Amino acid sequence: MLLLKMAFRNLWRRRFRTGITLFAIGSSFALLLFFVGLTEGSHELMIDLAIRMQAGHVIVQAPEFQKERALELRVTHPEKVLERIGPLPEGWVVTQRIFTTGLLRSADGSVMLDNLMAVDLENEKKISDVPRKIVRGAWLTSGEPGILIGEKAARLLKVDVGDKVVLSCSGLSQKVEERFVVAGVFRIGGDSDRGTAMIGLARGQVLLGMGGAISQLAFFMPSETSRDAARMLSAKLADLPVAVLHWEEALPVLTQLLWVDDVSMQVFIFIILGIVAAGIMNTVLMSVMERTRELGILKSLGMRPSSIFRLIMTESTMLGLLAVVVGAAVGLPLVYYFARVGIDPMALTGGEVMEMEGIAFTDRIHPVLRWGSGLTLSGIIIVMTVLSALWPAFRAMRILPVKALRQM
Amino acid sequence: MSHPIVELQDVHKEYKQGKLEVKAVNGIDLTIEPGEFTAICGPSGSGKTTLLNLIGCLDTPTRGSVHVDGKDVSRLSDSALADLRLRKIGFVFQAYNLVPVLTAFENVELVLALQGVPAAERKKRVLAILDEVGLAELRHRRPMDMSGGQQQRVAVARAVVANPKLVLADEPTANLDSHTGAALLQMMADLNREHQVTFLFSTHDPMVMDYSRRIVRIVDGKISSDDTKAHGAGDRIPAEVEA
Repeated sequence: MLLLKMAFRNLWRRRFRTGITLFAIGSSFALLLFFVGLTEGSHELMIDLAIRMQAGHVIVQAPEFQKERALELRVTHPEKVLERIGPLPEGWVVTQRIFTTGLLRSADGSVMLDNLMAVDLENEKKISDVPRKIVRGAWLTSGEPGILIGEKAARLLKVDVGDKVVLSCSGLSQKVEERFVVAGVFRIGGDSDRGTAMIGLARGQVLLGMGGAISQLAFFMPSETSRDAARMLSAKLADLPVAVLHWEEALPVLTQLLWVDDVSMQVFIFIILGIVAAGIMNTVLMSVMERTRELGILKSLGMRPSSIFRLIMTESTMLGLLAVVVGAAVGLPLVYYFARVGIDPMALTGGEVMEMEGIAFTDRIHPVLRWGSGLTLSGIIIVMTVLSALWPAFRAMRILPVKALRQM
Repeated sequence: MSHPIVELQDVHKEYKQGKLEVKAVNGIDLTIEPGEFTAICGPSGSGKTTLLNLIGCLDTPTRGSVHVDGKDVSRLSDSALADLRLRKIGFVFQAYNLVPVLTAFENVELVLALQGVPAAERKKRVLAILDEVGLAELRHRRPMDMSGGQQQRVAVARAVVANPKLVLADEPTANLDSHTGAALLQMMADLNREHQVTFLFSTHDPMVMDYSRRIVRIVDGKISSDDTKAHGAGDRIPAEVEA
């Protein structure tokens, strides 16, 4: 107890110096909390958008479809897949999609569609990002020969809601062409506003000659259960000619990018912590050297070298703990504030729209800080502070009382 | 049968100062018996502080043997030496050397805490010794809020609180005025008489020599004289001065 008291008071002998050190460690911690929160938030947004637009938490498709998005590589009997799975667990949504390419024409121009989707109107509406990004018109209704197109495509074709366009594409057995009415115009950002279009699944199946076949069954669920769900679906569908993919396998570019981003963040954390560690070591070393005589006195009185070591380590542990409190007091409100108001991603990319796997990331990023990340960072800061004090503490431990007593 | 508190046999201490080899202690034989009130005196550089450091287990001899309470200290590890200092020896330094972040009470308590004495007993013993040195009222003060004399009395209380076999005092009156110095010496003489604490001083202050019953003179690292008196000044003067 007396050792703790001494350590705490020693910390405040040089208030200004301790204050500066606390500020340095605390602000680094606050900064790390914010950046880790921002990274996690942007990752969540990327994953969420990519999953909604291009995949699902888990997808079921023809085994070769991942390599080549061809109409021939299809799930011929999706109803059998669903039957095999049985009733969906609470909170799950499944939607069926056909992916292909096509050409959209109007009297005034044409646009290549690199992502023409025929979608299950009812379920796609529940999970897709498009319904809330329709700027004119409305989501498709069944029975209507409608098409949803992007804002750029509408501009190029010089069409708007209610106008007619002609869609040409390769069906399963022949080239097909059909007239559609523009039901809605969406703005999801980037090239998706030119190359993405949506029609109803039933109409798409007829147009493309797919019968009841589809390209993909996409399952949505609480994301933390997705790995278990993928395993469960794989087991249930093992003897069917389909592949079950978790989103990390279905969206390899995104997975890779997230990994690179994580590594970059770890390097950033490492550099920041390295700089702070050097500062702490300097502070603790100075504090030890200033107190050489006093530490010598303590040894003369019979304090063991190990207790001297403990005293210095206790001081730095307290410094680390205080820094975490200070950093959390600054960093958490910062994360909380931006988690509420969000950050415009274009502010981070200098006005450029960030696009990946055909998805534009235009939504505001809301930093997300999980307990686990916050506690891990706190632990890292404390451990780093303690490690930085090791060498000064060893020096203090080896002070010779007879030499220390000669110092003024 | 009681054995000497300190027993030095042909002790040498040599160290290098630049290229020069200095013989700080040059073949000293000395025995200190329990209950002594002894001053080691001599001019500056005569080797008295080095001798005190050897006896206090703060340094080891180049040659010869140092026994403290019957133990040969030259064979002990750092931790064992620390333990010996903690349990057998009390120190009073010239510059008081209290821990600045601790109060008078905590400074005295520190030695007992290091010994692992339970808190309740520590409190009782610290209050008793602070009362004895006349500082019970100032127990919550930190060193910077006390006079030199008061700080040195706290240092004495710290040195004797754990009932050590031996208290080593290196120039304890050097930074005090004569009035305060006399009061401090009287206090130590009382502790010596009433609690049989053995005191060994290193000094060139005539007043310390006056209070001591045995005076060992050192010149050039060797004992030049070793005189014993029937009484020290503290034995006959009642406590009459206040710091």
